[in-house]
Amino acid sequence: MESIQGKHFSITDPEGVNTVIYRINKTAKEYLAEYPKYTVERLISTEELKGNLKRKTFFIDEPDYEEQLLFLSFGKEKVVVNTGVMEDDKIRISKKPVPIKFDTLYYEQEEDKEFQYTPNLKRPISIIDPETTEEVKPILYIDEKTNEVKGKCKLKPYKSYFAFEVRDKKD
Amino acid sequence: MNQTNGDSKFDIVFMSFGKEKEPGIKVESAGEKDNILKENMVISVGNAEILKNGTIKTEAGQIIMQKANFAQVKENNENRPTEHSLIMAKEHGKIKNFMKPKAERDEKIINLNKAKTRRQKEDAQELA
Repeated sequence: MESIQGKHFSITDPEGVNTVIYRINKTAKEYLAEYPKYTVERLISTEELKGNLKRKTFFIDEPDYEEQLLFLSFGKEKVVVNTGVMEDDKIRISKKPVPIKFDTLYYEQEEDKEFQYTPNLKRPISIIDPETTEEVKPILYIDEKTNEVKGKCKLKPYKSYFAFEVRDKKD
Repeated sequence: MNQTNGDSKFDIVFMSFGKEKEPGIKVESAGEKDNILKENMVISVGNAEILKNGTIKTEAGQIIMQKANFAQVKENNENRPTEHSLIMAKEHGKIKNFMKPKAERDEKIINLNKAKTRRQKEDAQELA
């Protein structure tokens, strides 16, 4: 039977918090001409309720001996950003998380609107709806008039979305 | 736009789509008091295997997940152009998707999109 080897780990979210985890991939140098230097992948997970708390189990396939992870813990009008390093049989979490406050005021009756843009394929940007923690995936297409790759994604006007990209550290 | 000041090896850049001159997000100073994951400062990791039906086999037993998860993991695994992924592919004598020439990868995407459009048309015809 087809299968993929990997590792698993669990965390417990405090009440009212929903944590999602990304794996940060650094592109091999021979592929830098074609791919962005860093890409992110959301880890698949499942959850079980333990009283009022959610215990989540995550799976990471074919991990390297050291994997960089990004933890985004969404709460009410706030997301706390943590980084972690997975080494062998444990993950160490950063001692300096970054709390980000956002404004969730928007008109409930507003419908999704389609926003068009010209994507920079060397700079992938991840967009997350902070209420559902679901990713907003843009659709890429070729504009036949200009023969350029264009992107479009559906967003609610006046609503805050959480968007991020990973770059080299500035000294 | 703001950047992390934590102890990570890279910067994570946050963006706001707020109104002009009115940022929709505000970064507060980093510190341990803000740590939501206090209970999880060091997390134990165990070996696991994901099966085609989405089940995860661990040393302690099986975890049932959605079948679609396997397809997602497989797609990511095929398209992750890292040093480690290259080594794993060579070890297993496999050619992963990212190792194929760009034209071949693009053709695969075009064919997948064509198949998706065809399925959508067939579904619409069935519903009609």
